[in-house]
Amino acid sequence: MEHAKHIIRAVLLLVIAATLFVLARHFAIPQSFGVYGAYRAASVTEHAAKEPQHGAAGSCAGCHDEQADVKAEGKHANLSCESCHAPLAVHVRDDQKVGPMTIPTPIEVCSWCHQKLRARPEAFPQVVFASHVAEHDETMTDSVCLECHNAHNPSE
Amino acid sequence: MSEHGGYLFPNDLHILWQLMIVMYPYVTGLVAGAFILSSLYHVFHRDELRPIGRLALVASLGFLLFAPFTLLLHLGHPERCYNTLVTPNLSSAMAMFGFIYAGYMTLLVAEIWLVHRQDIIMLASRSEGIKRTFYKCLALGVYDVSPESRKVDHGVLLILAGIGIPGAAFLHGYVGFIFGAVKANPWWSTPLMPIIFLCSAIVSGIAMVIILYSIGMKFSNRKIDAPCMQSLARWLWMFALISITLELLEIMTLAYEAAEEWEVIGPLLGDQLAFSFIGIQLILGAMVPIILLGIVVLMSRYLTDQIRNTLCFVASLLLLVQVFAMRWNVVIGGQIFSKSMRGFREKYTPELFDKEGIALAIAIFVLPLLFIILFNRVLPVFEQPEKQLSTGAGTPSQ
Repeated sequence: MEHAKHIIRAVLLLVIAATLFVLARHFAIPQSFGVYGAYRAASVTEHAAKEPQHGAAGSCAGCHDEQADVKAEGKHANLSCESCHAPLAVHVRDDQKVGPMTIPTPIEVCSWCHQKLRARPEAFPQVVFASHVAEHDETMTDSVCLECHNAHNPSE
Repeated sequence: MSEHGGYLFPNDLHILWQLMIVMYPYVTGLVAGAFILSSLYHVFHRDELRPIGRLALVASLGFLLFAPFTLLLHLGHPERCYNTLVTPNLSSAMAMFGFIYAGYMTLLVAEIWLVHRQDIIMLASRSEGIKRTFYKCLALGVYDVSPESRKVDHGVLLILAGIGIPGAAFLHGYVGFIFGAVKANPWWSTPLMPIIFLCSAIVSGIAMVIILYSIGMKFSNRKIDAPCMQSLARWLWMFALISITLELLEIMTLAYEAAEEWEVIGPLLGDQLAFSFIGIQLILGAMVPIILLGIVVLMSRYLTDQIRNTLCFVASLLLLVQVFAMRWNVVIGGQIFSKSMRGFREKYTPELFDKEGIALAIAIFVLPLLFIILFNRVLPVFEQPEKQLSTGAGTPSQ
């Protein structure tokens, strides 16, 4: 053992480092971690306490029945209004109007689903926007899609 | 105008594992390969490899130090990285990296310390002031260089290296396992994946050590040890042959079975990855160096030292490129076809200045090399001749 002094010191150093790590770990872990699984349990209640931003499907129809009827007849029938417009909370809270609903930029919103992508199913309606606009002798503007399509019922 | 976004299907649109995830198995491969090479000397007593025994270990540490950079750059939010260390999720294969990495780092540092202990004591005795205190701390205040203490060192070193070999195999086999375990991806999901990753890791490790050794000797005006280089060439040739055979066997099995996944993997290799797979991984990176190393191994007696060194250097460079191409083809190749196997997405080209860009990838590759140079300033990476070691190596006052 006389000639293993350096090894003993190295092992001691390692034990001290491991102890410091365990101690640091004890203070670094949030208290509610691991109650339900490998995450902070308190985050569940924190998220639950947040006010919902989106209304349910059909929550717009109460006031905007005209647009809802047009939408119900077209291919966008199953699309939530909030997919293209903003979340309901910017417009209505507790059945009271709190601000204007954002009007989206059509070319941007349409491209989310209809810009041609190799990875989209072939049967899904999709176009290369620049050439589609050129084919119809239109000029590329933010609202060019609305020249021919009705956003609430695009096949109209 | 937004090109895409807000669409739930399909989910194969983006290459999510980009250049940094190509770099990650590449860099950890260099770590494991260099370590396994060092163990050939330290454990299996291949004495002809003595000149690179230390270099291999230090290179392994250098690349290990910077390996997490790849993951941190890929994930972003480096400030959250400690979360994985303090709250590891035992059911996550990815989170296991923390344990494997920490254990391997401890082992490697301990081994390097033991290998350099005699030098640390010698330098402590020769230096003055802060430098002396620094070396004194490194020596942990013990200046025992007696044959008995060396015997103890050797015994501990053997145990550490004994644990280190399976450790290195696990470290890299594990990286292969991460890909192999993605059962939804037929290009990854094969039990051969860990073995292929491990073998190519050893190839890249040996190749890297050959290059570092050649450059190190050139800059220190010393002669490359011919038996050492010959032995390195032999090991490299053997592991390159095994590695490339396994890579080919995997593809041959897929092609011969011709199950439904071959419909997409065939065009993937022959068309989408034609340049990086056929051109680099198979021809330039594998066939050419195997021929060059074959010449070194089989026609050794006809070669001058200079020709042998040049052939080994060129073959090593090409094999480093081959292993990188193999990582690229696995990581990127596995993401450019649709998981529904219906087709391919556009090819992926990394940006130059991006958090997963080419510039940072080069930096991650260069930083370990700078570490080795820095390390060499503190402790010699190349073993000094015995004569120099003994002179002046006394027991400094404590």
